[in-house]
Amino acid sequence: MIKVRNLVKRYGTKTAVDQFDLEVHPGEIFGLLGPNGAGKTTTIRMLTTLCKPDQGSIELAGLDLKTERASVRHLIGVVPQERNLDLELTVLENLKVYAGLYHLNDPKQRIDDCLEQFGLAQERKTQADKLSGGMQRRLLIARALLSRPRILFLDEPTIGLDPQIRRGIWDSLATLRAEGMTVVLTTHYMDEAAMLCNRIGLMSRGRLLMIDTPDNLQIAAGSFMVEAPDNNGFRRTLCRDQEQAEAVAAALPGALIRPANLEDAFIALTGQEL
Amino acid sequence: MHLLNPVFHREMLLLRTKMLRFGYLVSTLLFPLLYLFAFGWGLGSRVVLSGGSYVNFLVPGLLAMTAMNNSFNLSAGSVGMGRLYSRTMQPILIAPVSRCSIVNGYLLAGLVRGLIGCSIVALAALFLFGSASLPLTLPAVTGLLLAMTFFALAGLLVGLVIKDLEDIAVITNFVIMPMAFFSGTFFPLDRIPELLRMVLTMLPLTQANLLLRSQSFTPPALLALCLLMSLCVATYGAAWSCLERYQE
Repeated sequence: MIKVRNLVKRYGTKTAVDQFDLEVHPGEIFGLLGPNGAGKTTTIRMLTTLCKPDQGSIELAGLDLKTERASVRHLIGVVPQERNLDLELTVLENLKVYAGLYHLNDPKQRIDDCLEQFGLAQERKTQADKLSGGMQRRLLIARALLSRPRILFLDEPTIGLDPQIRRGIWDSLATLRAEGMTVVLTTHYMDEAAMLCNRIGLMSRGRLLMIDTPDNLQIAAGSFMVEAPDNNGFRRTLCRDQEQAEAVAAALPGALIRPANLEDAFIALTGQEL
Repeated sequence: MHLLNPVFHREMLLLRTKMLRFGYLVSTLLFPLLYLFAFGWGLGSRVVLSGGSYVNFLVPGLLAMTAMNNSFNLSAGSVGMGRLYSRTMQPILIAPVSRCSIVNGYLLAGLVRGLIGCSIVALAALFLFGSASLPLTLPAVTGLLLAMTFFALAGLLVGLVIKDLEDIAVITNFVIMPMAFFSGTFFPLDRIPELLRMVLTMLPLTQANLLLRSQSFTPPALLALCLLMSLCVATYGAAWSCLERYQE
């Protein structure tokens, strides 16, 4: 569904995305994981036609982004990192404007369906400014889905939201996965990536370091984490199994053993903190 | 609904909410109305220009100035703010809507905003000084519409290229405001040094003022018409090209 080859984007002397290759399959939820400044948002901007790569090629649903930009725009929905709603307009007006931009012929039913699906039916006449942060985020997703895109891009979909609202957003995204939509999301929340994504690409300093399933990434890094206090805070050691973890812990006073998580794996595999 | 240009539709919805705010209307129309009251009442009956009353000279100039300010501010403000601050421009840029359609949407919105502003100033002039003060000729209406078109497109262009929102204030202070004063809005340019006058004559607002004060399409009026139309076409092309090449 998405084929990216040797993508490069530079801003002045800084290379934001460097020799980036990616293939996302139809119906897959693919997560781009990395710390701030890793190049995730720049990659999404290139995939969503908002900026042009300096090098490389992008193909979405068989269409070359360079030559068929306008056609590609019909296929994609985008949920940006920032809440870029028209805050002075009502929920309904926001969706009507978007329906116009996507040339929907009979948008009323589709708007009603989206409002219902994202629990916004009661808020249709509410000014977007008056919605809670979680509702605004849901409206952004509803807006992106209005045109029934084949590929949905979400840039940090739950950033700044409290845990309960995050879970609500996850439920919505899980529904999309069940419906077979291809989704690309960026996040730096490990639990989010582990919960939602079929595969994860680890990004660091503009490069895609590795791609695998959340389980395999964790196994590759180690299944158990040994944490022991030392003069600099904590000393952390990833171990492949319980036996190794116990051996390591025995040599470290005050050490604790816990199951490793994806964040541990990310740090071990990239050498960077999230 | 899909028959309506979606960018224009959005701008009209936003304009409706803004129009309901008292401060917005006041800040938009304060200066032209202030000039109308101050210069119109203060100087109107005492100064004679080219054998006519000063009010009859002033009102067309104020209409052109209002057209410029309103049309420019709508598109420069909306695009600049939407692109750099609220980022509401981005959904438009990634939507499958042609770049021409985006230009047309902002152009139409700028025209509406210019027409609203000019209508209010014209009504005030009608109420204060009678219908004789209003330039109700074909060249005047054409000139006003072309001024709105040019400045709406110029605003779009500025909104697309600025790097910072303060750049709009810089352009307003160093380009728009001086143009308002030195394009024959408040006084004729005939006493300005020749070299400077030649430069000022080329300004779009000077050409709009010339048309607004023409009774018919005389050769100078036709020249002004051609010049303004050329500027509109060039700015349209520049705005379209800027949107085509736009990237973040």
